[in-house]
Formats: sequence, structure tokens, C-alpha cells
Amino acid sequence: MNTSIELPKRDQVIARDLAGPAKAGLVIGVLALAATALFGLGYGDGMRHFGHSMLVALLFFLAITIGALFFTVLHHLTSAGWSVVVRRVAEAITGAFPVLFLVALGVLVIPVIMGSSYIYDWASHDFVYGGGDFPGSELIQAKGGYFGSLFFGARICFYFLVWVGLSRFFAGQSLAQDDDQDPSRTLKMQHRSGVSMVLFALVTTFAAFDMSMSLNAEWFSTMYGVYFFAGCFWSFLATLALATMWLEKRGNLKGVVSIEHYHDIGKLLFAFTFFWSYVSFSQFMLYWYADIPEETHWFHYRMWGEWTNFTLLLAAGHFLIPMLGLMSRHVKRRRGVFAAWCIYCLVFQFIDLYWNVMPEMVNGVGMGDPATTGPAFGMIDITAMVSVAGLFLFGFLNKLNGKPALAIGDPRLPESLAFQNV
Amino acid sequence: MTTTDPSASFGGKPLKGQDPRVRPALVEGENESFATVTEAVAKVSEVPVPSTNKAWIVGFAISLSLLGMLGLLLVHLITTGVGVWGNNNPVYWGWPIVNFVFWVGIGHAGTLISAVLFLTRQNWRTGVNRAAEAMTIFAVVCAGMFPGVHIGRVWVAYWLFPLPNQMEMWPNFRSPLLWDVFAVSTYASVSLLFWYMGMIPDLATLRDRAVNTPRKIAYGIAALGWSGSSRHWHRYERAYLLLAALATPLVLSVHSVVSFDFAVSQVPGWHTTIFPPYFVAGAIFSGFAMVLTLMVPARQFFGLKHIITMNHIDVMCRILMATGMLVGYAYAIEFFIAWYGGVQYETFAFVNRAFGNYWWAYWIMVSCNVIFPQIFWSKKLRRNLWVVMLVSITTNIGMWFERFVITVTSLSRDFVPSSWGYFSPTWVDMCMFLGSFGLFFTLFLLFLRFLPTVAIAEVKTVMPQAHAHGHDSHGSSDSHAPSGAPIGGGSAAPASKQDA
Amino acid sequence: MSDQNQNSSEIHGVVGYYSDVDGIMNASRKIRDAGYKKWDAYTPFPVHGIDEAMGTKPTILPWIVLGMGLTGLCVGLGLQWFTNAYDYKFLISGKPTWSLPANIPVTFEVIILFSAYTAFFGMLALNKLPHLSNPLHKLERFKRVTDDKFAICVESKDPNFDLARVSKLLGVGSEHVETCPIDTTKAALPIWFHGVAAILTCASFIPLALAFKGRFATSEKPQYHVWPDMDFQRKRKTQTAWEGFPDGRAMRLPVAGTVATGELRDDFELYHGVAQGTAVPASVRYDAALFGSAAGADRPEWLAGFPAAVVVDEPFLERGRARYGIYCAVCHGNQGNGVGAVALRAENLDAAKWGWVPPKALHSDNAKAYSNGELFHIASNGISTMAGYSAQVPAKDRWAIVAYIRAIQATQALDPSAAPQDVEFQPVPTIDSVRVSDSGADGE
Repeated sequence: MNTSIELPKRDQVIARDLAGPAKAGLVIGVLALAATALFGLGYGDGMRHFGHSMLVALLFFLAITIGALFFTVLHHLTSAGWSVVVRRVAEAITGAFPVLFLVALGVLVIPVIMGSSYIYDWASHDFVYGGGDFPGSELIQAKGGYFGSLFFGARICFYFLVWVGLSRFFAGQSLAQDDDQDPSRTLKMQHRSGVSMVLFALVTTFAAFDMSMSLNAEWFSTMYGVYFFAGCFWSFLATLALATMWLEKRGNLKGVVSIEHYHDIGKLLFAFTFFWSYVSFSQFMLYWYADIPEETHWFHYRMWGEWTNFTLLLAAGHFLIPMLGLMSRHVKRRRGVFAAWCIYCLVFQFIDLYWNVMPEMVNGVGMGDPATTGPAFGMIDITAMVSVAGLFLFGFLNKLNGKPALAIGDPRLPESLAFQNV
Repeated sequence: MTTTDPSASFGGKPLKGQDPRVRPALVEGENESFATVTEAVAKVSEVPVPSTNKAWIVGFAISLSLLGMLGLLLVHLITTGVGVWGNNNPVYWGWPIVNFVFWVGIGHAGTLISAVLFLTRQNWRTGVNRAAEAMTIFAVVCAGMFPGVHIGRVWVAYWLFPLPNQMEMWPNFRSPLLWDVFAVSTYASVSLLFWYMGMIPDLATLRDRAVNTPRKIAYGIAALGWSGSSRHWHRYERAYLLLAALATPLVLSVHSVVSFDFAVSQVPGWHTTIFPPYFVAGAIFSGFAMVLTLMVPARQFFGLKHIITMNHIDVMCRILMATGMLVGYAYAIEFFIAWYGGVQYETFAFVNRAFGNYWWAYWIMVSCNVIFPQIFWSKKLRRNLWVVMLVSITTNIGMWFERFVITVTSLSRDFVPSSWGYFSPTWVDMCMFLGSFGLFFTLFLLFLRFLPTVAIAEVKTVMPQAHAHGHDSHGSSDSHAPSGAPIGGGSAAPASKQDA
Repeated sequence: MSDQNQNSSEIHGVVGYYSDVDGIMNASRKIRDAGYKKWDAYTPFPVHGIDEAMGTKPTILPWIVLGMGLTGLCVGLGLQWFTNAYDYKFLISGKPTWSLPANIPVTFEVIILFSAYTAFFGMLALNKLPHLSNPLHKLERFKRVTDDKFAICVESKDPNFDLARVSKLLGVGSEHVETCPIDTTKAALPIWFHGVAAILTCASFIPLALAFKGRFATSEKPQYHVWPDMDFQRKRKTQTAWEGFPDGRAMRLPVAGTVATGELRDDFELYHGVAQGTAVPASVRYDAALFGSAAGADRPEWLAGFPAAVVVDEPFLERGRARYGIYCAVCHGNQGNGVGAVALRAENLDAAKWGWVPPKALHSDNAKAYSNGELFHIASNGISTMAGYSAQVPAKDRWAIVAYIRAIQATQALDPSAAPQDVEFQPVPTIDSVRVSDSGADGE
């Protein structure tokens, strides 16, 4: 419909030769997993450190993948135009759900069903009902069957089934459209995006409650799902920009993605820096202000004790610095500088999740008081991240391999290619 | 125009829905030009007063009488004291606060449409943003009135502000009620600036069309001598972008601060962390409902159907449904966490909401806010104006009851059973609420009649003629103006804060 | 084209009119390339790409706004610090006077307020608006520029201005070219407008001036009551006189021979700490004649044990510990050593000069010597600067506190050397040991 735009040819944008990197990711992932397990045994803490490190890594990459799914669904929900050129990258990232599901099964679900409480205190019968050194917790008892190990396992499986199902539908339709260019597929995806978004919101919220918030099973916050989601989309945007730059460098998206698209991703990244800060400040401030013991304890050992500096680092690094840094358009419109900020954001997403998970490692089941046991960052945390990163890359690249890195059949591709910020 | 373009097909199969290969035109009609847009909007304010639309005159007469009643009630209230209201132990925050939150909530859609939709390049906003901004300001006026008179001794209302006073006291900045003073007054004044700034070029249009001296003087002064200079436009657009970028977090903050009034306390049912985004979603929800309630008749009576099109209504219905579900999400999560948290007071508060004395209010709220908007899944119903009017009105009712449920059920059943009570409004409560609608509609109808109801200049920017076609020295800028249909994602300015 | 013979010093400039966006874009590029400086394009809406076509430089407005935003940050924080943490400190809901989380919302709003006002008024100032008398507005044709026409005006002030050349340049693709005469009319507004504006401006200063005067003037006149029924209510306050009753008091006495529910205190042991049937000491703060070793002949028969109405067991002691923690520990300290938060504060303020008597250590020999009845009496009615707690604490709870004080005294008598080897023994601090250290002020 627009003659001045030259549509890229299918051959130009096919992402070839990704099987090698994908396999390398898989091998590195498995090796690093083994190394992490060995390190974990070395701690002699019943694999508790191993479990929590793996949980941080799993949440980190799961967050990116969830963000990618949100981006895809939102794209269709709003009939967006500008984002067509990067949507395939997001769709490919959602290809990591199955492999992350396996990680979740291995690290969370199976051990819990087999009766291990190495991550979740509520899985320990003594901790909940009293016995051994534990007085028991009436608050957890009151939740009754919610924290039953089988029910927990079934819930996690359900979440992943929904995510995998949604991502397969949207990626599948998009890939099919590459071949037949049928605009009715776009209409179909738009049509289903509403229900998909509702499902997505509920599943993601409860996943955040179950996988992260229940680490301290007595603590609760209605905001927690939104808080987790804010980090998801934030880290996804940074990943999207980096992955797109990488594909551009490989020649798969050359001349397709322009600085205008990065500028827009940058604006969203800036907006979600603000949104994360808004959500996390509100959550903190409301509990700080009301000062009710059953709510403040979660913040208390993070803020007053060995974790104080870490918390201040998070507040400064996740809000103040990126907010000032990403404000200027010049930052968003220079690939190199923007890439550096994206990496920075990913580092702080890790720090955020680490801050959420790790204080709970020593809380609860008899390893001490988190207020006096500060961050114990070690090689194990790095290998855990490398491990899940490898597996994530395997899922992502495997999905992309041999397919166009651009949704070339999308009817709004010309609009996206011509997109300009004013 | 229907969105199902009969000619749109692919591979011989007709497409079910708007063809994704083209964006629908924002201004509908065969021969629309800049001049016809100007004419359509400007003539609304130019018809002689005696020949004003009858519906307007009837509406204005009713609104003005309600406003008069409000004035009398205010005198009654101030000379007698707040005892004329139903507020009493334990429900000291009764209808006045419910009305305040209700009106402030409505006052959110205007700035949202102007700022957030501007930043996200939703060009359809140009049709409705002016009226929505006006609605914002008038709603905030109504909102500000209630806490203003709730303080009892209105003649010392200036104590709310950090002004030196005879007791050498300062207000307590650690109180969320003072945050409210700052948030609402900042919001009111920034919205006013935003509204007025957007209106300057259109006031200049009215000035240049004016034929009699009073209009020339009034619009001449209000337009500040705007000449349409491109150098002015350059700074104007930059300032508009900045205001939009500033107003977006401001919108978020205002209703968050209103929610803090409740949420920083320890009252069961109030103290929950999702309150800030939940209140913001609810505010947008009620605001869009009010925009629909106002614009569906206004476009009808003032002949603006080609500028505020069925597509606009459709999009707003979808936003209404989406925000309704966000509110529903908050209701659900609150209930879940009330149980999950294991705090007996919290659990009781929520069970009491749904099945206690005020069960009827709760279920009105749930039906109006979560259930009824679900009918907008159907495109047919989104384009049925009677259904749209009905649901937008039930949404407003539902959102009023939401604030009633939050305020009254929690206060009437607090920690101490001996202080439990049942709140009943007095006739003054009810008539003042009704009177606030008089204030709102008087202002809004005056606006409709005498000011540019649609952002004329902005609508022109999203018309296909607004884009250069040939000889453009910088490459692709003409490429997003395909003949006939402007692409939504292309033209007007998007933004990032402080694009220096 | 209008009068070509006009002298270029008598005209404001030359105006060319165009009917569409392409026309004005092309003309703008030509004028830009011809090197003119004093010219402008006039359009009914912001035309995309015209800045580039005109060679307009980006405005500095964002930087001004950023600067004012930072100013707003400082003002917002500074205002809250000055008012709440410096000039008028007061404790509320246990929050520190300078408490950042609670100060963030207002700071944020002030930043937005400053930035938004700067964006709007900065835009007006940079555009030199309001500017009501523009010679272009005198042109009838120019009025279409706010509707559907586009125009370019090259001003005669431009150093390169040449009427013929400019007219030719503007003529390409235009629908009309005309000259714009200099505006010779004095005022665009009627004279009464200036008068009204001046009066209103002056009048707006009157309230300010009155407020200012009020802050520095004193008045002999009584306060003005806006609504007198609030200040002068038709009711009698407690403890005041009223001639309406024969005895001249506004309050009524209980009917003779009646006792209010719960007020019949006939259990002397429980309510007064003395043996049943003996003389009840007056509810006075302290009377040396009734107490301790110095007591005189009419010393009451203080109860040595506990009244029959209470059972001293573990829950009772727990109750006492909790009540002690609520009512007593702020002065006497959690350990009963007399080092409570109030005591420390009083020490730091040197409150003794106002007659403050420091709270005693409850395990001192002096305190041990008191009988239970005497301790109960003190807890109920107070001693020296200590107030009585009978109004706040029910009698049984006061007895629980007495029991707990006895428990404190018993534990303080333990021999440190009997403590287990791995327990580090730390003597309980006394008020003297903590007096010099300021850091312990939050202690206990």
C-alpha cells in the first residue's frame, strides 16, 4: 500500500545457523547446573543455598520470558503498529517457556512433592505444625491446603501450561503468517488477545505469590503480583533491545530496525523504571507507615541489619540512577550507550530478585536471623545464573533458528518500518 | 461508516473486522477539509444565544437550579455545622469523602486522555481530549468542594497550606491528608494549564472568526495574541510534550495519594498495598465512563459525529472494559490476600463487605463495575449508543458505590465491636451530592456552549491533508501518510520526558 | 499584490499565502535557503517537518524545565524539613520528624508543580506572549491562517529585505502575496479595559495588605465571632457555676445513698491494700506518716501478702509483666532499674531544676522494704512527682504489677557468680551509669 517503503525479502531476514549457539547454550547450561549442584553440596546446608540461587536465576529468566509474552499479547490487544519489527524477537523469547518449565519442575515442584523444604519453609511439616525446634505457625496452618505440596505442584504446572499455550498460539500464528501473509490471522490474534491478557494477568500474579512471596509464607502483600510484573516487563525491554541489536549485527534485521524503534523501547524502559519505583515505593511506604508487625517484618530484616546497604543500593540503582540516565533522548538514540543501559537494567533486575529471595534463605528454617546474616554472594550464584541463562538461550535460539527474525507477513510491517519519533 | 469494510478481503475470503492493512480515518466523511472541521466546531459557540439547542437550554436550566440548591445547602451547612450530615461515630468519613473520591476519580480521564494517550501516540484522542480535560477540571472543582467544607470552619481553610499563621504552626507533612492537599491542588492547577494551553490556538481561531466586539475582545484576550507562528508552534509542541510527560506521573500520583488517605491507616479493608494502582485504575474507569456519558449526547446535539466517531466510542468502551477488569482484579486479589494473610480483622472486613449490613452496596459495586462492562466484549454492543450510555451510567453508579463500600463498611465495623454502627445519610447529604452534579453540569454546559469543544488544531494534524507529500527533503517523513488514511502510529508527536 | 510603491520602512513585511502543506513547506525552504532571518511561517496547526524546512533550532525550554524541576526537589524537601523537622517539631504517629518516606509524595508534587508551571510560562515567555497587537492581525486575509490557510511573512527588519525579491520568492506556488503595513493604532483595547484592569490589580493587594497589617498590629477589640453559636453554646460546662440550680452548681451530685455500678469498693484488701475492716488511708499522693519506717502511730495496717481476690500464679505474673511494660517501664525501665525513656529524657534535659524527682530503681533496698499494700498504694495514688495510676489501671492489674515488682526484686538479688559459665554477666545500668552517654537515649 505504500510504495516508498521497501519490504525486506524473506531470505534477508532468516536467522540461520543458530543451532550451534543453541546447543552451546544447552551444554553450558547443563554443565553449569552440575557445577552449581556441586557448589551447593559444598555449603553443607541441605542444598538450601543451591535452591535459592537457582530460584533467583529461574525467576530472572522467567521474568524476561513473561515480559516477552506480555509484549506480544499487548501488541495485539492495542493493534500496535510500531512494534511489528521487534515482535518476532519477543515471540522467540517466549520459546524459552518449556525449558524453564523443566527447570521449575526440577528445582521447585519435584523436591517439594518429595517432601523437601530446602526452598519453601512451608513444605516442612515441623515448621508449620510445630516440632523439633519450631513452635509452628498458626498463620500458615490457617492457609490449610493451599500450601499442600501436590496442590502447589499442580498450580505451577498450570501456570506454565497457560504460558506455553499462549506463547505457542501467538508465535504459531505469526510464523504461519510469514508464509501466507493472511491478514485474518492478525484479526484472529487481536480477537483472542483480550482473553489471553486476562489469563496472563491472573496466572502471573499467582505465580509471583507462589514462587516468590511464599518464601516467607507468613508475609503477604496484595501488590506483590504487580511488583513482580513491573520487573518482568522492565527486564524484558532491556533484553529485547539487546537481542535486537545482536540480530541486527548478525545481519538478520539489518536496515529493518532503526534507531526510532530503540528510542521507543527506551521510552518504555524509562516508563517502567518509574512504574517499578512507584509500585515498590507504595508497597514499602504503606507497610512502613502503618507499622503492623506481621507486615513490617519482611521489610525489617531487609532494611535494618546486614541488608541495609544492599537495600539502599537497590533503591538508588533501580530507580534514581536509571531514571536520570534514561531521561535524555540522546541516550536512547545511540545504540552503544543504550545497550550499556540495558545491561545495567538487567543487573539491577537481578539485584531486585536477589533482594527478594536471598534474605529468606536464612529466615525460617533454622539458619539464623536474616538481619544479622547479610548477603552471601558466591560463585554458586554466578553458576546458577549461567546455568539458567544457557538453558534460556537454548529455548530462545532454538525457537528462532531457521525462521525469519522479522514478522514479514504482518500487514502492519510497512507502518512499523516507516515508524518515526517526532 | 462501519468498520467491517466489505471490500476488505484476502485470498477471496472477506475479513471479519477492520482490515489491519489500513488504519481507519479519524475524521469521517467524504469531503472533510480543514475548513469544514473549523466550521463544525466553531459554529457550536457561534450560534446566537436564542437559537441554542433546546436540549442545552433545558439541561442548563436544570443544572443551574441544582447549583442554586447546592449554594443554599452550603450556607445551611456552614452556618449550622457539619452535624447536618449523617457523619457520626464511628463513620466520621461519610458521604463527603465518598463524593470527594468519586469526583476526583472522574477527574482523571481528562489528563489521562491528553497526556498518556498523547505519549503513546493514540491519535484518536484528538476528538475527545478537549472535552475530557474540561470535564477533569470541573470534576476536580466538585471534588475540592467536599473536603473544603468538611473541615467545619471553612474560614480557616488556609491552615491547610504551609502559610505562616498567628499560632506559629505548620501543617503536618507526614499526614496523607496534607499530601492530598498538595496532590489535588497541583493536579487541579496543572490540568488547568494543560487545558488552557491546548485551547490557545483554538481560541485564536474563534477570535479570527468573531464578528462582534465582545467576542473579539473576550477571545482576543484569551488567545494571548496567538498568531500560528511556526516558531511559536515549535516551543508550544515542546512545552505540550513536557506537560504531557509531567502530567502522566501526576495522574498516577494523585489518586495514589487519595488511596494513601485510606491505606496508610490500620483500618481493616483500607490497609492493603494494591490500593494505589487499584485506585488509579478505578479513577480511569470512572473517568472514561463519564466521558462517554457526556460525549455521546454532545456529539449528537452539536453535530460532531464525524469528528467524535463510532470508532472513538468503540475504543473508549474497550478501555472501559479493560479498566473495569483491572478493578475486578483488585477486588479479587484483596479477597484472596485477606484470606491468605490470615489476619482475622481483614478477613472479617471482606466477608462483612460482601455479606454484612451493606451487602447490597457491595453487590451493586461488583455488578456495575465488573459484570456489566463485560458486555463490551461484543462489538455490536460497543456500537449501540443506548447500551453504551446505559453501561457508562451504571459504571458511574458502581464507582460511587465502590467508594461508599470502602469508606463506610470499614468504618462502621472497626476493631471494637462496641463502637459498631450503621451509617445513614441525611437529606442534606443527598441533596449536596445532587447539587454537585448541578455545579459540574453548569460548568460543563457553559464550556460546551462557549469554548472550542474539540481541539480543532489537533484534529487537523491527524487528517491526511496535514502531511507534506512531495519534495520532502528528509526521507521517509511523508511515507506514513498513505493516501486516504493516516496511520495511527505515525503523525503527532510521541514523547519522552525531557527530550532535550 | 497591493501597493508596490510603498516604502519598505513603512511596511511591517510581505506576506505570502498558501493553500496546502506542500506549498508552505516548499516556500519555507526557499526563504531559508535565501538566508533570511526575520521571517516566520504561520499555520493553523503544527506542521510536521516544518522546523527542518525553516531551520528552527531546538528550544532550550526542556533544560529550563529540568532546572526548575530540580529547584522544586530542593524546595519540596526544604519546606518539609524546615516546617516539620526544624521550626515546629512535633511527634506524630511515632514517625521521626524528618522522615523521608512520608515526605516523598509532597516532594514529588512540588517537583511536578514547578516543572509544569515552568513549561507553560516558559513557553509563553520564550514566545513573547501575550502579545496582543500584532500588525498581521490587521490583515483580513490573515485571519484564515487559524482556519485552513498557510502564510509566510518576511519582515522588513531583515537586513536582506528587498521588497521585490521577497515578493517574487513568496509568489512561487502561493495563492496571494500582499504587504503588511506597520500598525499605527495605539491601543488594540478600549480605554475602559485599562482602567478596570488597573483598579482590579490594586484591589487585589488589599487583602494581602490587611493580612500583613494583622500580623504586626495588636487590637483591643474582642475577637470577631463569625458564627457565635459555635463559640457560645447553650450548655453548661463541668465544674462551673449556674444559678439555675439551688446550690448554684452546674453539676449534680449523686443521689444520696447510691453507688454507681462497680464503685462499691468494699473489699479493702483489693482496693486499698489494707486489712479488711481497718482504717482506709486517704487517696493522697504521699504522706510520710503512713509509710515505711518513718510511719507514725496511725500507720494503716498495710497488707503484707496479696488480697484474697487475686490468685498469684504464672498468668498473673505475665499479666503484671505486660501491664508493667505498658505503664511503668517508660519511667522505671524494663529492668526496673529506673532507666526508662522518660527518665533518660529528663536527665538529658536536666529536669531536676524544675523539681523533677527521678524514678527510683525498684530493686533498691528502700523499695524492697515497702509492704505490698504500700507498693499498691503508691501505684494507685503516686509518690513525689509520680502520678497515680488508679484511673488507668484496674485494681487487679495494679496488684499484678506489685507481684511483678516483687519478681524483679527477687531476680535482682541473684548472685552473679552463680550464673552459668557461658553467660556473660552484665550489671544492670543505673541512671548514673547512663547519664553521660547520649547514645543510649533510645535505649530500653
